[in-house]
Amino acid sequence: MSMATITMTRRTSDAVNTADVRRARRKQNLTGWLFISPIVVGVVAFQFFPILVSIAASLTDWNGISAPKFVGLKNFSEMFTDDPLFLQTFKNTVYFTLASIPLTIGIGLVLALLCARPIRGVAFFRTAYFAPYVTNVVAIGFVWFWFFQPDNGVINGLLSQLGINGPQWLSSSSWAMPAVIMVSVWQGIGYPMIILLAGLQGLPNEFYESAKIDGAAAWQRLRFITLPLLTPHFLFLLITQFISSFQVFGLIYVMTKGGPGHATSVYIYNIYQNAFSYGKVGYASAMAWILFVVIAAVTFLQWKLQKRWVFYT
Amino acid sequence: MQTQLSNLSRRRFLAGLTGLTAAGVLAGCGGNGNAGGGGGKSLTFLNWEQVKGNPLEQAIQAFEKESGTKVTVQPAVTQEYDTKMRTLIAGGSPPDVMRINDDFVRGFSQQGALLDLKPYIDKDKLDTSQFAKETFDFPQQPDGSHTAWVLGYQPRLIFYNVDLFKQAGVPLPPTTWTDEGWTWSDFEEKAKKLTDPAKKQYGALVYLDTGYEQTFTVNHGSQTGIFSKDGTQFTLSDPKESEALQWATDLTCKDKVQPPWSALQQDNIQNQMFAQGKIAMMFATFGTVPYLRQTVKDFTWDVAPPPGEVEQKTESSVIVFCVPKKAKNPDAAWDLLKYLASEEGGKILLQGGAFTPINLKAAAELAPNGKAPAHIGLFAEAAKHLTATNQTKNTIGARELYRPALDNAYNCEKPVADVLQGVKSQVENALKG
Amino acid sequence: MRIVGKTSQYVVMTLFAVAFLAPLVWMISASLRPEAKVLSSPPKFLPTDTQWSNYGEVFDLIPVFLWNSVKLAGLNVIGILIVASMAGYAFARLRFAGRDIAFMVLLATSIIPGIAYLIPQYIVFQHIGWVDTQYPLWVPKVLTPVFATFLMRQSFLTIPNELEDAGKIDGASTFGIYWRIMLPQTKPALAAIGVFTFLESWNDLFGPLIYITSENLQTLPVALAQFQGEYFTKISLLMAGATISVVPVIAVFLFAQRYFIQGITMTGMKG
Repeated sequence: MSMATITMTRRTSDAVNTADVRRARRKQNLTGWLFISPIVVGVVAFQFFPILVSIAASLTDWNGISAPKFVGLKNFSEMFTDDPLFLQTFKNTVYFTLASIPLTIGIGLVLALLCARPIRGVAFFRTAYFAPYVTNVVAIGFVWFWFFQPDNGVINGLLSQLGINGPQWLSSSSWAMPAVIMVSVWQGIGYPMIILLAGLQGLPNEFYESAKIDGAAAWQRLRFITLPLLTPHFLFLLITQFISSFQVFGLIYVMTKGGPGHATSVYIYNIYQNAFSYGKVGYASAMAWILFVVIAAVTFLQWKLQKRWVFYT
Repeated sequence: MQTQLSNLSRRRFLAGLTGLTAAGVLAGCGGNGNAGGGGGKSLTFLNWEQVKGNPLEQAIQAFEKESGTKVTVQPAVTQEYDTKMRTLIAGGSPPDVMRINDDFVRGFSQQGALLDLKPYIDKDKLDTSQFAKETFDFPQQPDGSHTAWVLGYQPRLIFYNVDLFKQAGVPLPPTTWTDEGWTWSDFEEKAKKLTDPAKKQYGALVYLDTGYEQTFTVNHGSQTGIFSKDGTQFTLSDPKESEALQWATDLTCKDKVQPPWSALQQDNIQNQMFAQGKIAMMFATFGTVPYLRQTVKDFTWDVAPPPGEVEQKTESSVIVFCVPKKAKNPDAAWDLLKYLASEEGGKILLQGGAFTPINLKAAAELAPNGKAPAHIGLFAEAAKHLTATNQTKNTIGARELYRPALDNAYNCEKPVADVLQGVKSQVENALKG
Repeated sequence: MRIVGKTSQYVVMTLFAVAFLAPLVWMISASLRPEAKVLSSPPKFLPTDTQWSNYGEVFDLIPVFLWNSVKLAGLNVIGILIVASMAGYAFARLRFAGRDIAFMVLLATSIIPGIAYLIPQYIVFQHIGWVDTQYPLWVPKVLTPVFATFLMRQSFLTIPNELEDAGKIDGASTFGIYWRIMLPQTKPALAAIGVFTFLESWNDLFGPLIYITSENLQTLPVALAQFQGEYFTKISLLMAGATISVVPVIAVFLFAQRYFIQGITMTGMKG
């Protein structure tokens, strides 16, 4: 847009030119900010103040009810020296995130590619893959609990037909997390699938036409055209899935309550319990800000690295 | 689509935008017409489970009729109740009467969130001898204030499936509070006979109920149970206490007469299993009765005291409500609480068969009235055999450390004593508050 | 070749479909059983004595809540589509001072977990008189759709420049280019956002639970959560409720689906 404006004004004299450019630029700025004004107003009106309060709260001893007491950085130092759950839940969350994101996006991509083909009955399959994503988490927890029963559950039944003696799953300290990851991948796949499906529909045809003329095989087209064109959507998925997988605990909670031991306790649930079960709202705010710093750093890195692999037309 | 509802909302929206005016405040609080009551008394009420269809609803209606006060019952959900409670109190306009987790009473009192009811008790010269004493005194704080109100209590007993006993030819547990033929080893023997692996039928379930830790350690001869009297030490990890929990764990890991831990990781799953005839004896609270009454159709079930050893006591949960300090109608709230604890109110609550009313005269009328369990009276009898977990500054925080640790004993990976020793220092650190 | 390819594709898709649907079939079958038979071991997929009455019990509870849920989902979807597409367009296609910083700040706000500021937020709503109204359930959401804006930005970025340039030569205004030329190109993304927004609003239990105290303003998830009590969980009713609440979302999805298959002429995807 700016390019166009500038080429059009180039013909006139220099003095007018600078003034025009400045005016045009001011207009551009105004237009841009007008377009984003609703969301800016929203964030300022509904989030800034509460966020400021929570920053302040992280420096206090506060239970949400009586007056907060300023304690400086005590909450932060306590986390690293005095709270065995801080590190453990943090590690669990990293484990959960690193395992579930590639699986969700990877399988989501496969399903999106399968569902993008115009074959008979594709609408049914698409809906089937999406269905778990829309189902109530409590119901899902219950259903899978029953599937994971060690003695007469469906999973171990299938395994025993393959001659494998299945583990205790949800009550085993080493298998509970894989089980939880499996269910959350199963449940969450609808999201990347739909995003990628939408991305696939938006791809311009020209590339494929010329590739076909060049005689590129199907997988080559996938590798050299489809996947590169989808990279903006992959970036979106990586960043948003990373942010949200650090904040999800509903499904985990209904399946294991964080157990056995603290094998599946996640960081966000720890924050939640500190704030609302133990009444340590100040401490919980401090934990939330540590989380913020970590995710923000990773997000920033992803953003900076996008130049290396994200392809915009 | 113009409905009355959306008109109402729009008006509130405008009011909300003008914000600072009285109209804004009015619209904000004007929930269910209690603003336009025409001078009549009113109050709001929040429970953590549905009130509708529950004797609590009838009792509230009876109160409304008698006092002319309008009670607005807010929608109640068990999930996220703790979050809702703290947020409402922090927000400064909580309901007038709200259910409170018994573990929270001390903490919220110290934070000054709850109204002291002592002045009301004194002013009305309420005769407190009509209540079950220990339970009534539960909300009494070290400074003498009385910051919550107990409506009743839910003792824990052994629920058993009479049909399974008869099929296996096993003599039934006692029907009175005695340990004759009902010791731990008798219990274990019966459990073995009642177990049938082929049918996935288990003889007993003890270790799932949250009151079992206190009950079984005390019955095994522990002086204090989970925490020391002053609430600073974690006595559950002492040898005698660990031994008691190990006994219960061995029902699974050695005797295989109890459902494995992995089969129990869903809320209320034990009630399902009992209702399906998969468990012969189950240690559970009075609160289980309504579900079983509604669900069990094809066998007889009953209740018995917990098996005895050194002692034969049981722990009970208390049904506690509170009046937040910032409640708008504290007087009306007090009247309701007083009514619910009265003989008249207690007799209505009794019908639910979910807890023993705190009022002794009402509790005395606890009777089966043709419904299971036939020996429901034992829930009143239990008042004479209670043990209670000593209160601490941070019971919930401590529990969140030692209970998950016990998972590793319950799933037969480690001995109880080891895991409890392992968390002892952490737990005692948490007990500092 | 083609037939083999197609058959193997069907086999793969069917296997996936079984894995995705089996637990849901179990859920539906559990919703049709008498409570005492919900958990049969080994698990049975088909109920033996069907109990439609579970649905009757659920339906009794629903009418007002259903309308509230539909209304809120509708407000959220429409609002978010407008706000996010405008912002996404600006971030992708317009140049203006502070654009990238503004975007980073927006993204940062989504990183802070909401529960960290629940209490202050509640107090704010209390002050402006929004507690026990439905405004907290849509106004703040509509005005802060960060992920949706991000997705719209990414979608606008994949549109070739030619279209936009053509619009400029015709002398269309910026808004005109956005509304008439660019927005129609992003229908798949809009459909995806529509579905996800609907779903999020539809399943939101926490918001209504915290902010609404009047029965007549309450939503479906809260009504369904009442089937779970402290000692009293009726699994059959829980499953019936979950099944019922899935149906409208699936309907919305089926409707939105045609926007995903719109550009399906994609030659590159055919075997």
